[in-house]
Amino acid sequence: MAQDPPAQPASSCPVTRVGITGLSGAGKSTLITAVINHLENARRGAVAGESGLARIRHGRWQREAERAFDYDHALTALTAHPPRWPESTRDWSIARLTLDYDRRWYSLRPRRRCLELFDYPGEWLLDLALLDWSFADYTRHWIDWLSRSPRREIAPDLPERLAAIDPGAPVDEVLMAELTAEWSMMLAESRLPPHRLSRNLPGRWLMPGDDFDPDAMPFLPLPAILTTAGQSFPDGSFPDGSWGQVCTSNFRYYREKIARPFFESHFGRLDAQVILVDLIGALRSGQAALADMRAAIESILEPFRYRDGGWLSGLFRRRIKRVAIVATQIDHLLPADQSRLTRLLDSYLFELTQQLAGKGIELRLFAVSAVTAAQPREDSRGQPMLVGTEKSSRQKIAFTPPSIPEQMPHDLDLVIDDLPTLAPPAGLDRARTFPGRRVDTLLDFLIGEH
Amino acid sequence: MTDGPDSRGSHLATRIHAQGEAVPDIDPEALYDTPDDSGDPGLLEPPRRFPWLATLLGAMAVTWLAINWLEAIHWGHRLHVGLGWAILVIGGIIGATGLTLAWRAWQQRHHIDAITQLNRRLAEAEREGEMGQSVVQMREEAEHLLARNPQRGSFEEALLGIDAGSHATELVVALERGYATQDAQARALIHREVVRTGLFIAASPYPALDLLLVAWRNARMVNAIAAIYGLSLSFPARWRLYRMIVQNMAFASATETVLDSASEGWAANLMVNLGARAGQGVAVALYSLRIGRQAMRASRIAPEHKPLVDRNLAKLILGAIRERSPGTR
Repeated sequence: MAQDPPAQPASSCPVTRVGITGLSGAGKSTLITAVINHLENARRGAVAGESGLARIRHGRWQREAERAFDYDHALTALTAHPPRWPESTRDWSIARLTLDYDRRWYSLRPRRRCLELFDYPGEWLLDLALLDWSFADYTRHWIDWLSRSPRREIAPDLPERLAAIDPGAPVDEVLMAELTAEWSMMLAESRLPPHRLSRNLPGRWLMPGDDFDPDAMPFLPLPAILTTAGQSFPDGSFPDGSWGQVCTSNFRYYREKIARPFFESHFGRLDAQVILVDLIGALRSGQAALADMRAAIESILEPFRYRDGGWLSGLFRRRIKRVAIVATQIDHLLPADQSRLTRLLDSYLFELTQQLAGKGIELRLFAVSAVTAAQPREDSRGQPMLVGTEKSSRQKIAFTPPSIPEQMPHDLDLVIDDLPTLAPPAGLDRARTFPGRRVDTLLDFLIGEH
Repeated sequence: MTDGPDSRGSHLATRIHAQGEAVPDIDPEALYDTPDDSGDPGLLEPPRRFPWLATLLGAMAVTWLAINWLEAIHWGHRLHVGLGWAILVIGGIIGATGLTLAWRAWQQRHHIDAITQLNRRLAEAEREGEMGQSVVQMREEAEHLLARNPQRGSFEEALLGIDAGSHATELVVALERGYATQDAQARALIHREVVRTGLFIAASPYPALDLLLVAWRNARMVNAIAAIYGLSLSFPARWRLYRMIVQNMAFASATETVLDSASEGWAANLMVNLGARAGQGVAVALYSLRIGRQAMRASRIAPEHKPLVDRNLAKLILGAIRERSPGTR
């Protein structure tokens, strides 16, 4: 593959940094690929429809940047025969682009601006909640979650087994390894269909990245530390080598050496943050998934809600002024229902957006399709339907998705049955803007010049 | 294959029509043509380009005037010192006045652009269900643009409850409330003017003059509508407004198509019943009605929620022309 000449160093042009994250399956890699593709095709008018982007003349992805987002890999997947979605984000990466703008009327030179899209697993963002928690808080939350459906059904024996552990007793390495494996299984199963739960802490248990091995420093919630057994060890002064001591110190290490440095080194530099929400996916699973995802988003956005001081509020509010919450895969709905999804998302997150209002952050909700996979057609009776390729069976499928309501029921009791998951369409070409919906509108909000 | 009911309780059912080879092939090209569900495209904005020619001609004219002025000062000074000073001062006053007028003209044009942009922005914000700080920014911008509106008090009252917790739709509804009086005045004006224009054409014995007179009457109507909404129109501002009206008429929205189709039957009947001249009057009246509606749209910050000029007004106008037309049979 031909290599581009070295790009102008990022330091020589003003940089806008956008964090893009989302819980697993939300479509981060596809969205970033579509964003790069749109900007690459700017000179073919890909973003000319938005007034804030109309002056972008040319965009160029920088392959040679350090820890660069693997655009090549994503393009290979999307343009393969048969095409497939890019693989999930497993570690952090940065997609760097240089954008050339039309010159101003008084200038002879075009302007240049650099854009960095910081991609990282949304599961890591969940660790934000840990930063404010002690090991006792962590245990307390997990006891609560494990006692509720559907986690109660996913791991029925786990709470009892954990509760039976004496925090003052010496740690049993074999039992620890066994319970850790069971814990990982529980997290993985919670994340997958049909449950699609979101609060799968610690975030790096499922998405460890390069810098962390969950088996090397395991920690499990110990319900006994909240009961009388735990009270006999004031201030967490468990004997060396005990369950309590090992789990507490490993938890602290994870919190202070893994989670906190990540946020400190990356978040303080972001100008805008995109949080992808797989609302359609959660709607496929129903009430429990919707409730869990909302709680996860609330915990992710918690730092923005702090009005005064605090380590997290300082970190986030230093620069981030724009937050976009984006529901993806709107192409799985009929065109008439697509704009309704934004209103449904608004209704779903109403309390959160109300709390964030007035905090000096511009928060907007979007419903986008990064790469449209469904083609609208009409059935034999002239009624609208969609045609696409089913992701798992790779068979063509014709279906009519239900008309979604504009308001989310207060008890979140809403399920879409049998909605297929589609594979990407064939015939995608890098030299042409991918078929998508409102990617340019989202870009305009994030980097538009108004 | 499931073809069952659409929903049961909180469960929304997807209907699977077919799977496998029975499904028609997907046309990759059709994916690029997904119909836009965003409805009315909103107020269109004519392209803005830097006016190179006007700037060049203006700079040449200013240079020529300045040279002549300096020569006149020199000539006057040679005749009498006082005359030289007088020409200097008079020229200075004329120049300063010209600059002030040019600045005001530019500001008025900018005001028209700012109204259009905010109108489009609000329409987009409504579509996207926007809320939060951006709604506060749009409210502040609206307040700034409405500072010289005759109904400023009503707007201040209507916008009082809009804060970061409000949705963009609430802001638009508040603006609609503020515009209620001006909308009614503009509608009455359009009604009056359109009927007069239609009757004028129906009764005119000089068809050659019709075009010019209709253009003059419509321009006057647009100016009056802009004045109702508190807009001062300099020459560039007026030119900009006319361009915007013409562009928005050329790309008629669904609302306008409905308006036209509502009137189509009436116009066809009238052509049969009233004869050619009256029919022409009706056609011109409908055209003026569209101009009036577009002038209202371009003068308002609030996007058009419901048609500013509805079917009933079109019918009323057509009825009035039919009643008063001299050619009625």
